[in-house]
Amino acid sequence: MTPLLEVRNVRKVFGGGKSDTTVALEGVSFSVSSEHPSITGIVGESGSGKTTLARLMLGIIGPTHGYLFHRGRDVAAMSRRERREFRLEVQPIFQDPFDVFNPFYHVDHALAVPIRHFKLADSRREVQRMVAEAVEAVGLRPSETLGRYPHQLSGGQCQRIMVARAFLIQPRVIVADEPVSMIDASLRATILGSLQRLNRELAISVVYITHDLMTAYQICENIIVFYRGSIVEAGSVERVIRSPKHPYTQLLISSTPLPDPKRRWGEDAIVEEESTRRSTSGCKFAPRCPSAHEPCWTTVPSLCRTDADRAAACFLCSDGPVLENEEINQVFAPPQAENAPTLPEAN
Amino acid sequence: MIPANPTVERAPDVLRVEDLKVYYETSKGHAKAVDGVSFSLRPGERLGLIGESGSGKTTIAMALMRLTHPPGRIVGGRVLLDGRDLLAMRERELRRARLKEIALVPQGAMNSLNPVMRISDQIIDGVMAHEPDRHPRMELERRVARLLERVGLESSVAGRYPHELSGGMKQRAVLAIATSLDPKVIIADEPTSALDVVVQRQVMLTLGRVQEGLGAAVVLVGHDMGLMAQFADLVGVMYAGKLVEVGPVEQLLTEPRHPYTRLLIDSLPALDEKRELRGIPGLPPTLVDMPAGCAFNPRCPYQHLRCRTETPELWEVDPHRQVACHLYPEHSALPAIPDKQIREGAIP
Repeated sequence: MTPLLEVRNVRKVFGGGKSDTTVALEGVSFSVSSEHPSITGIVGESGSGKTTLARLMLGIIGPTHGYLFHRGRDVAAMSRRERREFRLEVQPIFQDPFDVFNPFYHVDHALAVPIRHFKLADSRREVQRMVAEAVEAVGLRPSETLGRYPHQLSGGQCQRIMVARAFLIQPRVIVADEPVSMIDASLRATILGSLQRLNRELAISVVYITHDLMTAYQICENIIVFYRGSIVEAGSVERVIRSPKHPYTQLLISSTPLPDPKRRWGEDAIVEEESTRRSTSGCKFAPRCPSAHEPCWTTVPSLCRTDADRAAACFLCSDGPVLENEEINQVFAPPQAENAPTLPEAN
Repeated sequence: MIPANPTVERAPDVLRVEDLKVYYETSKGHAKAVDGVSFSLRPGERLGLIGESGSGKTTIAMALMRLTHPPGRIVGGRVLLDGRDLLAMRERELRRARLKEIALVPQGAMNSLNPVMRISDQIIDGVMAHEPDRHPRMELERRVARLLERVGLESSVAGRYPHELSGGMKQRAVLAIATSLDPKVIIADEPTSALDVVVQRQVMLTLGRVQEGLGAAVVLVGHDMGLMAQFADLVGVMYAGKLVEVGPVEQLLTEPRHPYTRLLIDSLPALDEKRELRGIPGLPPTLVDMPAGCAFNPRCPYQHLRCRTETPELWEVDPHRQVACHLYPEHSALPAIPDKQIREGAIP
């Protein structure tokens, strides 16, 4: 079955010239199935390449090497019509909700433009009806939001309007790049909840890009952990979060501030990035890794399958079969739609 | 933290805030960003002030340093630092108190360093302002090295410029500046909001170590309940310019008393169990257009008539626990949310 969206063996290098180049992504592959609507988490710190991956998946930038396929078609070589179909099926939600609105227009504009662009409505009245319906679907009252300027709304309201936009277009995939990192805690859950609803009720797949393991754990079925542009661990979210194999994933999890004073951060030794200046041609995590040994500095570990539903790129767990880049989806747990909790209707 | 009880022996408060009010002048009238906030801290205590954006938490941090700028104005209250009112001090006295007695670790501290000065000079700057008598260069350098070491930085950092340091290192350098004169109170305003979790943990553990070494009190301002749970002893929950609940962090998290605290905790994701994510319905009020009565009443599942007419005062429901809610003292704990309300409050 051709995947809906596939990133294959992508490498992205920024900067020209001979010296100052930054490798933002290296050997990255994964795909979004066209059969099962899924929520996949892409987790990493700043500088891990996660936003680059988001922009790449949206076709905003192209890969230096490798491909982005939409239903088997190379996005870089698409005709105008195919590209329009790609845009209709793959839609973004960005991090800063204020940044995406044109401050001179009412927020309705952001919703009405795609309707006109993709010719989703026949009349002006229908446009209005669709806009109001979409706003209600994400739990906002049209009377309180429509006809207003972005600066008159809160960040949470603006971000929900972006979710409403996605609801309106009903794409097959939403690439959400840090959609709640600028949102207050009490509204965060609401926005993530509406993404979950889009996934369950409209069968839209979500690629959820975040630095926050806790929210990723809550809404994702599978996650991919990035470190400096490479995949270090991938698999079902239960497996990766409950029993992380890669030292970097372990470090991330032990550093997450849990809202539980009984489980405070340990003072376990963290190798600080700045403390070692040894450069590595092997594993990128070696300079910060408490278990780095000789091969780590010279050889890049390949992604190995450690369990049925997880792979990690570390010499500590390289007994399993090597997973080719394109095979990474094999470790993803299938979606469990049948035992997902049912959500109450929108009010 | 607890209102003074003359019968109980307790160390004197190092910081005591009484009925602090900070208003912003706007074209639509006063915005009461901080409206009658009181709390106190003993040496060595760590208070976390948690609130959403617009709840007034950063405004408090600035007012505690008396750094409030127009259109903001401190309109009332006292900030007692070892018994002396910071808000009534003369400018000269105030300058002496800042950094030496009460120091600020600002928000986005990485951007508060001077880009064209070496780290050592930025540390010495503060020291010299307070101790203007001549210091031999050697002594100053030793002092800088000691301060850097205390925050876990190598002494070679002294000669570097901010752009040569990583975010976490800059944050520690700022910490070294803030603690250079061994202050009694440290105000940390979202000190790690721009940092990754691993670096955040390192910086917070460093702050904790330095603070314990000094025996200083800390006010940590933030929006992340996880961070509060990791760092604070006491937590004060802010909503629309008021403290709505104060208590020891463990009790507050396991047995919240104020409905807002309860709903806030329920909205937090966890790492050990998947559960339904539940936000708080509605939005915080705008400060120029506050609802009558309790500011939380339009979003509160427990609200009744009195909540819409009468503003609840913060008072002690239990030893060490203060809540501003009309449910008390009738109830001894927060009752269960009516089932219907849970459903309405769930993901819309």
